[in-house]
Parts: sequence; C-alpha cells; structure tokens
Amino acid sequence: MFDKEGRLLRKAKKGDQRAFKKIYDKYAGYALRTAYAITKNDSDASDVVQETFIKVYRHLDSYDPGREFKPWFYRILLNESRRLLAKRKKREIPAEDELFERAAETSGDTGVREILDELDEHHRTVLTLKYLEGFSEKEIADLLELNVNTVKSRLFKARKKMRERIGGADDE
Amino acid sequence: MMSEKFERKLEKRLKEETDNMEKQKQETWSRIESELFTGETKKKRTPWVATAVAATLILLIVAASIPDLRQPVVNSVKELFVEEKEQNINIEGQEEETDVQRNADEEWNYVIYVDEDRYRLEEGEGVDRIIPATELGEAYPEVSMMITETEATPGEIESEMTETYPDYSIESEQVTTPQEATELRAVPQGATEWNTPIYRWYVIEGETTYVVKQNYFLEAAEGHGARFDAMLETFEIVEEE
Repeated sequence: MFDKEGRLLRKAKKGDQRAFKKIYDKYAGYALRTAYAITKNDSDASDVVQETFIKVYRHLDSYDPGREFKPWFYRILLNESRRLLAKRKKREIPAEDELFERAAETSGDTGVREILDELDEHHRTVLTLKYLEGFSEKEIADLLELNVNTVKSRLFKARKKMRERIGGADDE
Repeated sequence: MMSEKFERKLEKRLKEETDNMEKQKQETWSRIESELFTGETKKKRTPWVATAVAATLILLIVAASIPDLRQPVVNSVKELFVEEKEQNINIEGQEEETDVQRNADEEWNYVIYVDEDRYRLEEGEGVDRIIPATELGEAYPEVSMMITETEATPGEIESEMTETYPDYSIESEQVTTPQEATELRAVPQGATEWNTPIYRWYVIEGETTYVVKQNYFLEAAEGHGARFDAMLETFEIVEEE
C-alpha cells in the first residue's frame, strides 16, 4: 500500500502528471470535507484544496519519503485552511455564496453538517480529523501541535455539543 | 462518557452528509491542472457565476475526453511531463536549485530531465550521451553519462563490466536511488589520484531494460557525479498507451 503510494510520489516528483492525479484522486475527497468543515464554505474549501495540492506538487522535493505522506499532506491542508480563515477575518464580509448557503439552511432540515458549522473552528477541526479522516488523538495532537489532553478535551466538548444538538433520542 | 454507538452514528452521518463531492473534486482538479501544467491561472470562482463556469468546464472536460476520430492521437505520454522544472541538488553539502529540461528519446521511450546549463544530451546510434556543455580538455578523464537499451541480464552486464575494467574490482548492489536498479561500481585497486576514473553503471529493468553508464573522475565525484545522479533520478521509462 505504502509502496504504491511511494512509487506514485516519486513519479509525481519527477513531473509525472498521471501519478500526481492519482494522488489527488486518493486524497481530494477527504481534503475537501476537512477544508469544508473548517471553512464552512464550499467555495473556500475548493480554494483551500487547490492551493494545498499546488503547494504539495511544488514542494515534493522537501517531502521526506521515509515518513508517512498523509500527516505531511494534512499539515499543509490545515495551514492553508487557517491562512484562508485569517484572510477572511480581515475581509469581514461573508462570501456571497456563503450567504446563499446560510439562507438555504434555514429552509431545510438541520443535518450533522449544519450542526458542525455551529461549532467553533477548534471543535470542528478535531471532530473532522477524528471522524472523517480517522486520525488518532495522538496524530491529531501532532498535526495541530497540541497536547494530547487538549485534543481529548476538545473532542469531548465537540461531541457533547453535537449530541445536545442532534438530540438524545438519536443515541437511544 | 459518550457511548460508542453515538460516536459511530456521528461518524456515519458526517460521512454521508459530506459525500457529494465528485463535482467539486473535478472542478478543483481542473483549476489545479491549469495552474500547474498548462501555465494559465484559473483563480477563485465568483459565486453564482461559478456554477455556470463549473458546468461549462465539466462539459469541456467530458467533450475533450471523447476521442475525435478525425484526428490522430498526437498527445504522447511524454507530453504529460512538464517541459521544465526546478530540482534541488546537494552539491558538496550545499543545497542548489537547478532548472532542468525535459528530454525524451523518441525511439526508446524514456524521459530524462537534463541540466542544460551544464550538459547536453547527444542522441547517437544505439546510445544517448549526456556530456558537459563545455568540453573539459584533454587533461581530464572522460565525463559522460550514457544511456543504452539492452537485452542482457544484470549478471551478464556485470560480467561485461569485469571484462572492460580488469584493474578494478566490481561491486554490485540493489539500490532505490537514484533509481530502483542494480548498481555496479568499479572500485579502483591500489592508490588513487585526483584523476582516477570512476565507473558506475545502473541496470534499470522495466518492460525494456536500460543500462546507464556514468564516467567521471575521483575529484569530480561530488560535482559531476552528484549532478549525474540528480539527472538520473528524473529518468522515467514511458510505456505508450
């Protein structure tokens, strides 16, 4: 499994577009979900993923093939997400399609995705990394440069909020 | 404590509700491809207009993927490799950024990136040679990297090396850099000097087997030797589809 990925990465490093597309196909879906969970906006998520893959391609030379690719990739993804959020905060004007999405939300059923949107960024991020990406608490701590206990605490609070909003009946 | 059942439900519903990503995935790839491989920059989408643009793009992608029977398939696999790229090379402990250019042998189906500021690739009968762009002069031993196709096995090539360099002992090793290959090193016996020739061969096995022969001299090991290895790292056998 890792060998195949390593081979693809070596080929991509040499400029092989087909190999890079295969890496994209493997990671893009989850990357979009994660970026959406953090930015709460489809268009921003797409921009984050675009910038992430461009950075990955341009910096493949600095990737250490002796280490796992996934954490390296997600670190870039999270940095790009945060960069975009910081930029958006400066703008302080919500994107037009975000307003559209919010309007659409008010007319439909409240889903997990919408409840997730109501959490703050810290809680959304840990929850996404844990349940969408399948990272362990230790891995999340490494990725976010946090103490494992902080990750545990954020996960606990995030789950609690989700549970309150989804409703106890869901758990029974 | 949260129940495991709740966690499983949370995971399942999160995945279900964020599952409809295919369109967004294609659209994002289209923009990445434009930025990285075709030289144009398709920047952030404008909301509302974006949907129409995305739909058009998808239509174009689909249309482009349907073969036009009136045209021959001219897009060679080699063209999937960028024409020029930057490569980081470690020369005598210093990181160096070098521009390398795509060279593709039409006959033998391989691609290699050559540092054309310092070297040039000469296509010859039965062998391609990468040699210094500026001749080194007669005082220096040969500096070249030769690429040739072969039907011989690594064992037979090792025998050939032993016969070619009787004053050297031959060492063989399976390596992953600069290529996944059998590396054959001719190790000089006895005292060495600055200009003692160095011979290093790599047997790269694929559908076709290639032998890459590096020639340089002891003092040039960290210069020409390192640069040859860096170029060889970019060597790729291309199977036409």
